[in-house]
Amino acid sequence: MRRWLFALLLLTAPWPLLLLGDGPAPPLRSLWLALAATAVVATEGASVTVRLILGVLWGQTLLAFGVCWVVAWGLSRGVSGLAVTTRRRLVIGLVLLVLGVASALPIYHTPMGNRPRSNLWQALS
Amino acid sequence: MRCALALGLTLCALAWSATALERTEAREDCSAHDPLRQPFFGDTHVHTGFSFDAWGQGTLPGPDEAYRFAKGEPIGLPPWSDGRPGDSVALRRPLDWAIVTDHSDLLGETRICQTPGAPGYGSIVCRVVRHFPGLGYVLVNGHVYASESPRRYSFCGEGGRQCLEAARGPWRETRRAAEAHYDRSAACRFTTFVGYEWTGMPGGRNLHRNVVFRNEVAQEAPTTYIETPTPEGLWQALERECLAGAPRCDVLAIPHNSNVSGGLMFAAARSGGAPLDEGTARTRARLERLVEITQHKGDSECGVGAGDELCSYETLPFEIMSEMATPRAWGEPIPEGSYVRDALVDGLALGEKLGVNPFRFGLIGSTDTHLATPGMVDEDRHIGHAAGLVNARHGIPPFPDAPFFNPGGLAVLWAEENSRDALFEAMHRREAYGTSGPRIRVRFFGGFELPQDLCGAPDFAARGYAAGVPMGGVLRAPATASPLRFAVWALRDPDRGDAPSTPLQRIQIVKGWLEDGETRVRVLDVAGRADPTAGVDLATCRPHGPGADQLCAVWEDPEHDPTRPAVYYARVVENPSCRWSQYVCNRHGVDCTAAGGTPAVLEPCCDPELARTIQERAWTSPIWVDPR
Repeated sequence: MRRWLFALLLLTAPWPLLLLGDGPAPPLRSLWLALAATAVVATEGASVTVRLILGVLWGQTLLAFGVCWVVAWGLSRGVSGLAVTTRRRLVIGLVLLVLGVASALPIYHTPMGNRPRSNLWQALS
Repeated sequence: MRCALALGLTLCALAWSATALERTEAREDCSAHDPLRQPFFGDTHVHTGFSFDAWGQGTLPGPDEAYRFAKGEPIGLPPWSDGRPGDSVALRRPLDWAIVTDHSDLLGETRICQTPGAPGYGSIVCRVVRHFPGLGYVLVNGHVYASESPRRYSFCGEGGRQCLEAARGPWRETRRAAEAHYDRSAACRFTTFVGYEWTGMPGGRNLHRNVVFRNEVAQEAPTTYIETPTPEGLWQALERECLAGAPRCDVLAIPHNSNVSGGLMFAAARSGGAPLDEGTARTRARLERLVEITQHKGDSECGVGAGDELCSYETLPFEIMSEMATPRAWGEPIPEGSYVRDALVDGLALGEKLGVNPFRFGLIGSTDTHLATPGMVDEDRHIGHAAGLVNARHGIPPFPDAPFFNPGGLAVLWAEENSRDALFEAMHRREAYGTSGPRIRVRFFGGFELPQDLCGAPDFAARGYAAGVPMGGVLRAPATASPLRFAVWALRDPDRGDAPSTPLQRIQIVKGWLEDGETRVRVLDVAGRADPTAGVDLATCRPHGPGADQLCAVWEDPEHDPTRPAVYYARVVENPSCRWSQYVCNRHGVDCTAAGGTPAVLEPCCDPELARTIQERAWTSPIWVDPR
């Protein structure tokens, strides 16, 4: 259950990018950006400034992942008293609802991207 | 007798100026040719979609569109969708001339990343730049400009050959656009120059120069910071590839943003730290005849704390370019050493020591637009510059720029006609001035025989030329004691199209000199005065109170010591008017006291440290007085 909630938050939580962007965007986008920068650095090497940028991107990503993990843990603890079937239905319903809303509405910015605002799939593409 | 004298002076001035213009190109003579010269308003600093940082922030128009805009046509603005702009803008008044100066660095990389099928198009760097333009922007700038040892990306191939080869395309197009938009007919409506920006930035310290060629003869390829990482290297390349290497080639380099050079721009040292020598000083004095005193990224005249209340005009809260994203608090004093006024006075001392003054700069303003919008300087219509902190890719934001930036200024050249040769010679002899945007007219003469009754004289200019030197000139103190006089005349911006201009407040003369080996500066009001009842209504931005349409003075320096070098320039100041940010805040009806607060994008409107008003101005090029 915690893992499902964690995945949902990574995928959909409108996390504000603190530096080098103008969030909110899913934490997974933050990971994309960090991976893209890492790929450039792995190919081309890095100046001090680029290393700093890379550090900021990974710092933000890890922070977002950490917060998502804590929130997922808290939520799963909150519903742990419910019956297994109820819990499962609640979580599945929540996942479907959040995914539906995030897919349909342009609730995200796409920091460092080509669009001003995006829905979930545009933000992750 | 007096008439005969006046006629003689006029003829003398005409004869003097007629010999000054040398044609280096085939073109029709201009029908509007005035040997006593006219002011031509232009912009020496324009980036288009050919510059990586402009394209990376969503600018698509190229040099052709930039020149059309300068001539008065509208230009498209972001957001762009399938080649169609989301908005457009046009100048209120066209410019007389402009120079597209895209960054020579990354010219090839930008073209490769834009062109499907080009070798390197599929590289990881180009993919990141296209897919995550904001990330690409910071990574590439960090890789090239903020590095002590900049180098090309691997997709450029061995020795960067592929990118250098790819850069030939945009360079050819830049030269072609300059030719296509240059009016070689007798109408002389518009002049262009071939140019580029050398973007040196060791350790984030701005050493940028715009390079301007006199006519269509230019370098085969522009010099780049990556291959030529020092100003000395740039000067050598210009001498080798232009001055000595190509017939009819002539060139100038114009430094800018010394305010964010961390003191490097005007250091009395060569790159690497060796002391400045006579040869280097002579080369610099030959090639660097002008300096940008104001532009989008701040004012470079003088810093806060220079003992001159007007120095607080558009100063930046950081001292090196790479600190742009982490500015200090407003009003915090910035260390001296990066400002033009300091350089002008330090140059006197260097001139005594080396026998040549490397900092004999004329003064101009320009925009540094990255939206391909030369001359877009109106405070009430500021659209930002898409350069650095505010991303215009998704459209011009409601608060269009970082609060400490400004719309930039204009370069004005006193020339016989609107042709390349006439304008270039004006740049070369420094008969130029800068404005913070308004089209103020200023004339400035100095001489030991200047008559005291010049103000109001119909032959002000003829007598000024005949009895002295214009702005940018050099006087030598005569053997006999003679009064050193300066004549300065300024005319308020006569017309701003659909918006009223602001009256003039005063003219000041800024004097710098050496005394017992120490540099000294004094600022004197010579015409008009600062009337505290003159101001501006912040709610409507309408100016009120007394001011002048025209000011003039003949000022004699009673303290001039003919045994010491000195430098003098004039500063013409308007009454207070609304800063661009105030127009933005008014347009959006921001009320900082309202319940519910202010939208985040307009929060700068409620920053108590943000200046509400400015005093627009013009700075003339100096007149130097060499000792007897």
